[in-house]
Amino acid sequence: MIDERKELKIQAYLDGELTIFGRYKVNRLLAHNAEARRLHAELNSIQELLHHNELDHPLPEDKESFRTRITHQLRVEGEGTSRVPNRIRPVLKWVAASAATALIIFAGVYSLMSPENSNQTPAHVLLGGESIEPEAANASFITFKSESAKLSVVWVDTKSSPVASPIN
Amino acid sequence: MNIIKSMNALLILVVAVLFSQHAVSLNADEAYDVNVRVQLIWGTNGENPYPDKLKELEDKLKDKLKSVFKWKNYFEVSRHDIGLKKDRTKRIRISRKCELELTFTGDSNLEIKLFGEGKFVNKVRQSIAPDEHAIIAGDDKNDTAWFIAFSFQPPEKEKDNKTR
Repeated sequence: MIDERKELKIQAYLDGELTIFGRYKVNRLLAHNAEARRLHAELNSIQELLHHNELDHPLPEDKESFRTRITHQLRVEGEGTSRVPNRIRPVLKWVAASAATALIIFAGVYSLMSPENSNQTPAHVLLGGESIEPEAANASFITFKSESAKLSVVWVDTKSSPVASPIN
Repeated sequence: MNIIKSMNALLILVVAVLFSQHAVSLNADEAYDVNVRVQLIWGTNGENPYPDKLKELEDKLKDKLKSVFKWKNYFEVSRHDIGLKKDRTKRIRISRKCELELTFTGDSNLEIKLFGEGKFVNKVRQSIAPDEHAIIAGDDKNDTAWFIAFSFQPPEKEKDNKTR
């Protein structure tokens, strides 16, 4: 016996209103319940009948509906410029921002590594250090960790801080 | 006369008690929780300007530094093996201008305070794995660099000594 709730589910299934999980549940119902299959076939045939025999009778367009249509069209065209689904867009933005930051850091570090830029800090990999509390005014520090070399480095920018070189 | 003898005996007793307490505290200090090796290193692309003072850095650490930094040659300026007890701080001078305060805060965590010309520069809290090195470094004159390398050493090297 198909109850009203299941009937509504089958109807929603035919109308394409269900989520993937909902469709999965209805598929299972149809696979195991003959009455559900019968109802599904019946509703499907009604839907197809209505679809194919619907009269195409356009209503006269008033000012309000014209404005709504144009607004809708503009919005659709605006969205159409991006092929990325809305829910992926924030993730992509985050990835793009992270990639850009990583690229900038990498470019900076790479340029520092080259002998031509020997005035600046050399490093391969930038990573967070454990914890640094700079005290000196204008002191700047870069922390990075090389997993391959097993080195954690705190690079003290002695050009902007009053750190005395310990060599001298 | 008896009073003087008694006073002398009391004085000897007090001195003996104080000495024994000091001896106990010395023994207690030698039972360190960790041993930290601190190496002051100089990196350069040039040759060793002071072969008598600067020793070639050991290959393992040199290779690590070479794989990260641009300098080709690394020389050890000084080395200190420091025994540390948990939550106790030791201050060491590694060069004429630079001092460090080291505190072992448990597990593999080391707190390092760097002082340049007597001024506190920064504090670093670093977790150092047994085969890892923590480095504090900076530029030096003529396109060279200084490095202070910290590493935990096996227990048998429990001596607070300066090798050079």
